[in-house]
Amino acid sequence: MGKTDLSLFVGQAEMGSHVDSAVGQQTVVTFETTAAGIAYLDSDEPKPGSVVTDHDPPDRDCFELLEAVPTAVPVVVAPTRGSSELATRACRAGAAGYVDLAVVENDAEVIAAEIARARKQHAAADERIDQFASLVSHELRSPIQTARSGIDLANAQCDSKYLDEVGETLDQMESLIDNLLDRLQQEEPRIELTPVDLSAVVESAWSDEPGARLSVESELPTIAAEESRVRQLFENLFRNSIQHGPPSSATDSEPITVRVGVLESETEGTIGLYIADNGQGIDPDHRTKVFEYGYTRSEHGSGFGLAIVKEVADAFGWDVELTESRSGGVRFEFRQIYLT
Amino acid sequence: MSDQDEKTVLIVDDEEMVAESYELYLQDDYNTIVELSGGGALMELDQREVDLVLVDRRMPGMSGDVVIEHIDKWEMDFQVIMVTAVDPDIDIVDMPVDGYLTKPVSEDELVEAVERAIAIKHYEDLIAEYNQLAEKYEVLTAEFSSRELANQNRFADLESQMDEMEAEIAETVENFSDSKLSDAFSRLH
Repeated sequence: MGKTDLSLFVGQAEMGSHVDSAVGQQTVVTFETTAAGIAYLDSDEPKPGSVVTDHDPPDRDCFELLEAVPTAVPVVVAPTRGSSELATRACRAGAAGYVDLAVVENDAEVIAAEIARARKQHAAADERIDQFASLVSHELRSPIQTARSGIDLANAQCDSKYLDEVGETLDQMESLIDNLLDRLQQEEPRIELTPVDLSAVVESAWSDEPGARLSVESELPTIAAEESRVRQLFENLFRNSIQHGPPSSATDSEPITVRVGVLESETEGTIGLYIADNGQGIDPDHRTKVFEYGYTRSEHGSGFGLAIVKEVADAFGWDVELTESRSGGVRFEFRQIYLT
Repeated sequence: MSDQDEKTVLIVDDEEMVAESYELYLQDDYNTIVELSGGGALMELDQREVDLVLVDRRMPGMSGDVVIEHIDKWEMDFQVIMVTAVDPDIDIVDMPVDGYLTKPVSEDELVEAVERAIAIKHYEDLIAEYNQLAEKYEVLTAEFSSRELANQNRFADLESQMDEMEAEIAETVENFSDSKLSDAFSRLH
């Protein structure tokens, strides 16, 4: 969150000075160009609690600024020559407010009022998100605790492999809730790097499904990562392969085979990994979309699986590439994986 | 811990299945009592001695917050661990609890938290007892010369008791499984 009594103004210095006088107790730092404003945001200087920008490309481009400002900081677009088209585009790009200076009097006062309104609106939205996150957290985690308690009590009375499987499903749900809450609160996933035995994780992530086979083609090393997230990544990739099955041209007896192996890396201390299958493959036009939240190729898919895979890879700083396997299925390649 | 099997844990959670699972996790090493409401827990505490309370935060009727307020007001001398699905916020700073676990908790997490809290209580009791001895030692050494005290068997017993307690305190600190806790105690000593 930004420093609430500081605003960044990108526009003419004279207008910046007027806004500074109009905002009362707050402070305004002014830059004449978008590039200078972005450089300020990237520096170690105190972060602003709001941003106001003119739009007069190429020197002042509100869209470039909107992209650079963290989502937690409201941006007011205040062009000296506005238009309804610009207003629509700015709002779609995430502007919290819009003031067309050509049609208002007392420019600086109007901008100051808009800053106050945008900040108030943003704070109220943050509050609502916090309340919702708290509700989600409690209302979803409590039943998971009850279910987990039931499994442990049942396990004490009888032995059943199904109980273990239900327990694993609860682990997945818990992990999804954590991810959801991280996204709601716009926090980076908290990562704690520990040695992770890839061989054991791959084995535990694979569930023996009829008509599916896992083939580990190289000795898998121990890497620096977080075991639960790596397991989640493999579980999602394996589930993706199994869900989409062998190509329709294949005979009924042909199993879906998922191959896992190590790729050589040019960077010392790192390795690469591939996970490939002989399934239906993904059309090249859709290969970037499959990593988006909500995108699914399956009627019963959630559209979360591969998006989470990408998120986990990003969290560890791994490069991920989706290509075609030698049998026409999908092949995921991960690189820059640090060894212990 | 040698007397661990004598410790009593009061489990307070309105979800019967959850409370019973905690009991299952702990029953091999502790005496356990289950209460399904905050009011029931306070009545239990009024009648029986416990060493540790595990309490849920959001319960119908009397909430966990109210239960711990009463425990604090009554100056009861045992450890309290809140086990709840409510994410911790800055308000836990003022909360009179010795631990805060966020649901869902695993058996290992719960058992470890209970062991740690019991170990801390044991440490606190040892320090209190040691301070009593140290106080007497100081009074006696100020009053009598070392030659006079050398002939006193009771003083020799006191010294030997203090040595034993110092060794036990050091051993207790070393045995804290949590390295952060162990480091913190090492800094204090």
